[in-house]
Amino acid sequence: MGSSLKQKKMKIVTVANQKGGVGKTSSIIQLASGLAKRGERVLAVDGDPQGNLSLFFGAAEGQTFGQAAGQAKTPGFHDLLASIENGKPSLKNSIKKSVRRRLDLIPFTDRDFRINFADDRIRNLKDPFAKVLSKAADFYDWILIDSSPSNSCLERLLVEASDAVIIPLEFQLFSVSGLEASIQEVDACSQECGRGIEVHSLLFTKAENRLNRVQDYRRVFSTFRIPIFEVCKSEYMSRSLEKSRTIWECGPSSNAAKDYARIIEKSFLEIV
Amino acid sequence: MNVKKGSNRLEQIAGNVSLALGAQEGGGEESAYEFSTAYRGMRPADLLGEWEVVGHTWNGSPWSDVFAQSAFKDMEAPKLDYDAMYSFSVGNCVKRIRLTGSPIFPGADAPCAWEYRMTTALTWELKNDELIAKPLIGYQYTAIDGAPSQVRELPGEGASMTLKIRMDDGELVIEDGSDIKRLRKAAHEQKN
Repeated sequence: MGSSLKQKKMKIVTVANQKGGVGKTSSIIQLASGLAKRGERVLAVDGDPQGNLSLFFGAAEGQTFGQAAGQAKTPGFHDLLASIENGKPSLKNSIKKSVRRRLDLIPFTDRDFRINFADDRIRNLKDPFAKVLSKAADFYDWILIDSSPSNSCLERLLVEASDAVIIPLEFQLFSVSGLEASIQEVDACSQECGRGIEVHSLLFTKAENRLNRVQDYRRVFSTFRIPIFEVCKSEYMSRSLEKSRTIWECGPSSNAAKDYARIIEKSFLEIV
Repeated sequence: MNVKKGSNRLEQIAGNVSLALGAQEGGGEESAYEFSTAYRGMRPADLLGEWEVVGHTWNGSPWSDVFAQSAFKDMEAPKLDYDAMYSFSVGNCVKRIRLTGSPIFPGADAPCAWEYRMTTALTWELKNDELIAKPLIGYQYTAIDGAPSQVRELPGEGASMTLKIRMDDGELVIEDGSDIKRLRKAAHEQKN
């Protein structure tokens, strides 16, 4: 088993896979809130213009996901990029403080971002954005970045600002194919920015034992030497997301919570 | 990393992924794959304590019905009440079964109070999803209207049995071919 992110002093972690629906945002929610619950100071960055992470944490107590979606646009990731472009980076103004105890969020609430912000503009912001995040890492133990299922300039900007990448996937061929593409992408980003960005671990989400193909995937992937975790399919997960509650708030003793707790302990915090 | 490229598409892609990740391998022979908590093999500590049998079937029929038909061969088999308990301690297990009913024996004009008890002490060990149990000592006791009608010591040091074991929705399932028991932690042992 490789060393934990803490041991490797890797604080900025992007959760990425070019395939959609593999549990990127759900995993960020549970990992960020789980780390905060353990006393770590966490900044979650919503780097996906769909803004689902922002919707989740933007919802007030008792508010449903749908109700939160109707809220007005708030400053966030898009404003941060605009401020960097103007030469006056304003991280502070882009942060929504304390969406949970010890957990701050840079939301993404501009759904037209890809129309409004051309790729060549983003390309020019890679280095300054990485510097801004690196500076922010002085104030947080962890910066976790959610990304969209794509390989555009935006995703490259996020990965190149990271120390490591965690890739969620499903027991499904398209998902594994997305893994292959994502690893190539991380490699390309490493070369582009001139420093090693590590694919630190893989998370098989929505794991169900009853599926015959799961055994095939386990057989094949058990020969890998990077940390690979399973998170079981859980009714608690879907229910908690609908209520804008984390798994720690909705089903702390569920198997899914135990799975995420193990990832936090082993992949993030373990000191051997 | 030893994923061979095969004809299977999954293995092909995994082989490519493996090669791409190769430079980052930490080395070592130990697999770094972690099963979900929901699908991990049972640990001996998971078994310790008292378990109440909440379901016991043989070939899909209630075990107590099957037992009644066998025990009351030449008469109408009574409906039996069934209680069973397993107490697991480190390396040892005590299994207690109690059946009660009100059969009307041939020639009798009224039902009697019939009771059967069986207690067995076993050694046990867990290997992945198999429970290997070996009876050490035990007895059977039958009483009619409170008076012992038969007491029999079971032969000690019986052959060991290999039973399939798994957790299913908080219940312990023990399978011995067609014989399937579902056990639940005794109420006084359940955590909140």
